[in-house]
Amino acid sequence: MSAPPEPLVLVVDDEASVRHSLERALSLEGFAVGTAAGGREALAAIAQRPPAVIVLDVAMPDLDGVAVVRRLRADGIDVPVCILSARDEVEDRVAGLQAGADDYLVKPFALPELTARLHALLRRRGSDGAAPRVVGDVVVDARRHVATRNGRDLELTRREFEVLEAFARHPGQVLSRDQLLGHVWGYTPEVDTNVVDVFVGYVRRKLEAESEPRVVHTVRGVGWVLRP
Amino acid sequence: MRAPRSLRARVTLAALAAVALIGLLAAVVLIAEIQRQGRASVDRDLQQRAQQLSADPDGDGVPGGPGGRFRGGPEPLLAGSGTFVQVAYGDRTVERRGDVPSAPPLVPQDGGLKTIDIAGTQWRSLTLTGQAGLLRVQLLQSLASVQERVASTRSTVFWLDLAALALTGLAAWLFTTLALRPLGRLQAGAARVTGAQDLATPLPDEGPEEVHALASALNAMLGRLQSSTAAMDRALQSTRRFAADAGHELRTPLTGLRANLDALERNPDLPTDQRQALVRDTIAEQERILHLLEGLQALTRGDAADQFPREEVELDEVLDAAVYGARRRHPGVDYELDVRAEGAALEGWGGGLRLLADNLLDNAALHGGPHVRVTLGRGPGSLVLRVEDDGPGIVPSERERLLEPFARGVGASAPGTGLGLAIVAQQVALHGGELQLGEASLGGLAVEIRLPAPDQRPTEAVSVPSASSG
Repeated sequence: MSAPPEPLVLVVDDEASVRHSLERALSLEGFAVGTAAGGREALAAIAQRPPAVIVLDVAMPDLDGVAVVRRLRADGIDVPVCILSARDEVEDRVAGLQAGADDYLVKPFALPELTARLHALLRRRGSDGAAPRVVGDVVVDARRHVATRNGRDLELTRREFEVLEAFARHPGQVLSRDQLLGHVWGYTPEVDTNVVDVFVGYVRRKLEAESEPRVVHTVRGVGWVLRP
Repeated sequence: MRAPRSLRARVTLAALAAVALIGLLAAVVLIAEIQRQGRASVDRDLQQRAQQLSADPDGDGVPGGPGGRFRGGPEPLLAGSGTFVQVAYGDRTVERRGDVPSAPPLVPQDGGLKTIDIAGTQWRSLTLTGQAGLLRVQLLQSLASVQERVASTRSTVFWLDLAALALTGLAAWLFTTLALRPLGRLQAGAARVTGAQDLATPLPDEGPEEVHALASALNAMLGRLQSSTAAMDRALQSTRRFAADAGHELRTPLTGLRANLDALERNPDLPTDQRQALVRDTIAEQERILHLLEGLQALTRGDAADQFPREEVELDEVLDAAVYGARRRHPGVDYELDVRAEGAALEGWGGGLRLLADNLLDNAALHGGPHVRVTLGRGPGSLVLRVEDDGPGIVPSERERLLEPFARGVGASAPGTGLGLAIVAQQVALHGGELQLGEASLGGLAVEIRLPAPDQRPTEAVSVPSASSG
């Protein structure tokens, strides 16, 4: 079985104008593009022909983006998802990322930004299958895809897990936003780095959920370091 | 029967029912007592007379000697007295004396007291029996006088009860009318409230305690309505302002956008460099529209920010991320971040504080020179954020005005939206802080913001040699 020459992108948005311009633009950028006008249609399209990556609007009338991501992850479908949201839909965006989306873009966005993210999402890093890494009371087991602190399962989404794993692979070493973008997202430094701050924030919150001391420390002006 | 709906009628009816019941009870008890006393006095008379009779001087077993005292002929004094005496021997009545009615009864066989009916009149009778039971003397006294007293008492009580009922009904009706009058005034006052302008006039607060409590509660409700109406007015006003400002401010970049697109459409054969320049301009105009829109949305959201969840925000972390982003956006500007307050946490809206920081940093880059200094320190019960630039600064008379939306500095040529400082001021107000515009030691504008924050707690801050980056 030969892989398709162009990776299939599924664009899900209830606005026809957004669907059409993204379809045209992404085709010109060398993607195969499928579209869906709502959450249910998207789930049907994914079941019929699994895409390589999904661009998903959060605010849709029938089944919103957050619900779609939740359903996909619950069904064990691991296809990377980039959610689109308006600036003022912060809560929806947060919910989408917590539900297991891998990345987000704020509407309107520049096309190069979107293609860079899609390419990054397509360059999926496989788990390296190494032995569990232990930093203080934090254990990151890449093979089982489980991260614990003090034996407590942190219940990280995949992106959060990858962020923590990147830190665990470099214990005591300061990682900059750009380095994390490269390690986890596979981005070139041109893209907006705020997504890194967002995910580091999530990982921190889960690490400190039971008022444990901080282990992911900020190094001002540079980035963060994992140290017990 | 259904109870009447009016409180006045209910109270009056209840009072009437109570008084009627009491009157009835009183009448029954009173009449029974009169009857009992009347009968007892009659019984005493009969017994007394029986004792006088029982003196039996001739020993023939019949009191009063042979033939007794009754043989003494009629006693005219007894006529009409309502008493008479009968003597019977065996089945035969041998003697009758006194006020004898027209159809006297037979003397009963057994002795003792009893009440009997003779031609519709009640009589009390005491029968004495001789040893063999053959000779019997019956003393009788009419109860007519007792019955008359009962009848007259009954009619007196009836008229008294009727008068009491009438008085009670009148009093209850009048009293409830008086008591309900303040309620009526309250109702009239409430009915006069037809619009927001009436909410400021309190309802009349007078009358008994219960009505006073009701009036106070209603007035408190009016107060709450008034403040929520005021909040709604503010929200409506901010929406109107958004619509008006957006319409006015978006027109300019949209005109530029359209002109560029028209030029591109009408000149398909433009040289590549000119075409590229036009497209770049168009993208810049689109970005300007976007910034404007985001600024306006931020202001509108901030106007209704009461509902945002408050969380613990580490301001030093927010600044670190914001400075990192600003360095990206403005590669030509040298941002210097100096944090003297570690673990600078405060209760606030994380998104809003980031917005504040972003706008301050962008503002400094747009209107200042190549050097921006950001310091975060601590004051008593507050965090002090200072952003200084080395631009031309702003003359003191202009400073206040710049906090208004769409205010631009005199002669400002930089491509700002005119919303930056307004957004900053709004966030400061939302977080209960203070904002001051002054002169920077670098020569330009200094924006100093004080945000209330708890004093420092011990944190797990690690000191890593600060790396210079830019």
